[in-house]
Amino acid sequence: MVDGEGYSYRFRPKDIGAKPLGAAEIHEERPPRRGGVYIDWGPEPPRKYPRDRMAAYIRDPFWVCVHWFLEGSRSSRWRNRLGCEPEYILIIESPDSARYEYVIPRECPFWWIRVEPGRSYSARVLIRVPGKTIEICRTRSFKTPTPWVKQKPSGLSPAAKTLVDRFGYYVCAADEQIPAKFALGTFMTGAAPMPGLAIGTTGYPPFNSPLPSSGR
Amino acid sequence: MPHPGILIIHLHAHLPYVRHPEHDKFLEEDWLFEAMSETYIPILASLIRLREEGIRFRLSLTLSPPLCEMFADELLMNRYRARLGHLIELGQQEILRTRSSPEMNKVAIFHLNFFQEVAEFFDKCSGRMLPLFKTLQDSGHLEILTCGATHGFLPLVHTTNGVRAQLRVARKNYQKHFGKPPRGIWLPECAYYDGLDRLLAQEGYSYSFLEAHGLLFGQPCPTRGIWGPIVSRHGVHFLGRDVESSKQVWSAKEGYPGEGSYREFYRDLGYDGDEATVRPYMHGGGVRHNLGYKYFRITGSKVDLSEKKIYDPDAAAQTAKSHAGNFHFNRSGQFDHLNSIIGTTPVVLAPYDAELFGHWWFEGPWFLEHFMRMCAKHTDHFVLGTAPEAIEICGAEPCEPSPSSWGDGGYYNVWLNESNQWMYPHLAEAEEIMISAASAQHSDAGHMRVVKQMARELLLAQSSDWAFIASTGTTVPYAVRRFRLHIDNFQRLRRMLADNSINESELSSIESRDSIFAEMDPTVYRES
Repeated sequence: MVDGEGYSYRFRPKDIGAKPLGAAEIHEERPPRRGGVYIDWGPEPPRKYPRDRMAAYIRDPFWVCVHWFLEGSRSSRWRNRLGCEPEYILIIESPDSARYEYVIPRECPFWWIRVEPGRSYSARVLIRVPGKTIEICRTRSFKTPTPWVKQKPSGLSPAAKTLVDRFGYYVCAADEQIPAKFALGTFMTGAAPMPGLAIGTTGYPPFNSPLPSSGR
Repeated sequence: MPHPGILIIHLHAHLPYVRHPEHDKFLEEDWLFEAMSETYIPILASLIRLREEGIRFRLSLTLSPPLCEMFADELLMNRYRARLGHLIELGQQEILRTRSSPEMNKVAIFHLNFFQEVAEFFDKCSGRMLPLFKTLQDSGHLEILTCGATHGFLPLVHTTNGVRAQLRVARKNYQKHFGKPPRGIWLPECAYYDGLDRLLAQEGYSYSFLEAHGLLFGQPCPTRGIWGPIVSRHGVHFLGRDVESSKQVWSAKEGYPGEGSYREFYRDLGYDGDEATVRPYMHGGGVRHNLGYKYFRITGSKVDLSEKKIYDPDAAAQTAKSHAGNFHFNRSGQFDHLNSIIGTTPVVLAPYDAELFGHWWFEGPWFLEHFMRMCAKHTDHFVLGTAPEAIEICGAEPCEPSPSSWGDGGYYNVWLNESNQWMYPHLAEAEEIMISAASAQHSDAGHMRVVKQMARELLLAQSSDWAFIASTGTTVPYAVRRFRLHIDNFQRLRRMLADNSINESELSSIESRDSIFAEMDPTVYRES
């Protein structure tokens, strides 16, 4: 098992020894009507859905966002049987690459995982009970984009070389190290999902708290 | 002597579906009205003028399905005509108000004439612009592409059926408005993911456009870089956005629209005018907004808004003409260079948001018309063309395009980040419910109406505009509210279906508000 750099807002994997962050700030969505401007944000969407389901969304070659609901019959049957919350495990794996495993909370914030470019992955959630693990849900296989051309610069056509020379597209073999000058902040590398946020830190609001400051 | 290159100028015209019959006036409907006055009608008028003069030109244009639906909507078009009437009335008052200042008065007269000409054009075509676009396509001057049904960001649509619905509904809508199926599709936000070409081919699309690295990072790297078409394994052709020509127009620093003599977008009578003058023309609610009377010019990039000089339309027109000449000169040089390194006919694809021309850059349509006239006159280096023409003349290299988008960062992060990630679980849930509702047999006509409306609500919620606006931080409450309303409508309709209890007045009310795609067939969501 390999630790990835996955994280979430209020919860970090136990096995890397991180402390949970404090409770999320509660966003009051509708400011009091006395004074100020009343902002109509529309009807509140459901806070959860009665499903055991997960989805993975690719952001770029290096980052994937995973979200799940563990509110369906399969997971609730186990909760009832155990009489408590079981341990939930998220696994992201690729047949030809690393495997990432996390202990996760049942109620999902958004779980961002730093992965490798150009790889196929699938994600699943398991329940760990004494003596066995049971799969609750999984995603379809998904592939992260390959951010560079698998070709040595010397092998490029004049047209492709012109692009590389003039606009800085980096071209290298897939297994070649990405040079420092194309490190964080350029579009082909793994900049953190939130601008100004270093990889490995966090700052995501939980599900259904999307609203920005109302300007109060 | 090599064949002259082919330059494809593509304008992507799209606005989210903004139609609010539940209010007499609605601020966001101005998005459409402003773009009609400043972009769509001036460009359409310009293209018709060129054709009537026998000028040879080609233009590639997306008319997104929501935009087509709004153009064909009687309520919106009536409201637009009424709005024009108000703006003309305001102009007449402005001429009186500014008579003591010849410079200001000249600008007031210019704007009044402008709105009168727009109104005259609109009346002449009886408020029906789509047939005019169609005639330009039929005469071979215009190549009209469609787009995702509601501009859904396809890589983040949860299911294949959901993506297929975006593609198929768009195709059907195009057929309704233009009488034939589209050949090409503009992928919303130029967003591509592995495997999308298969669906595009299945839905009958033969070509599309990608961001430059969609081609450059393709496998194998195309020998012509981005300056020649490629064809994917499923037979869909792609062209890549040219960086250089895009930058020259788009760039805030180096682009033409930032030149000092052009009209300043951010100084508008709606904000500058005294309350008594502007109040009768506002939508109510105590919020000032643009009225389209803009008296000042950009003056200089570092000049404070309060220090702007008065606009001179004649000087701006001269600048637009000289910029068109400069753009032509630069493209000629670019094609000469490309001819020397490619060896076959190069293709340069220069796509822009249509609303840049006219709405954001007021003189943009003038620039475009001058440029097209120059292209017709000077054909040594390049000619204007369309994607099908380029594919036919230049052939295509086999290549599997790379996932990409034209958004900041080159991938999907503008539409998937901390400000908008919360939208996707709701969309995923709605898609799965939609598939199952569409797959069930509904013998009852009322049930079918509910399922049809659910499909509309889902499509409207999928519009990439909501996630984009949430990401960029302007008019966020409207985008969030629209998204939540569509999800809420969807869930209410779902409950009607689940409870086998149709609330007729509620259903009719939702149908009348979100009446897009009368031809909607929800079976498009059936599992296949």
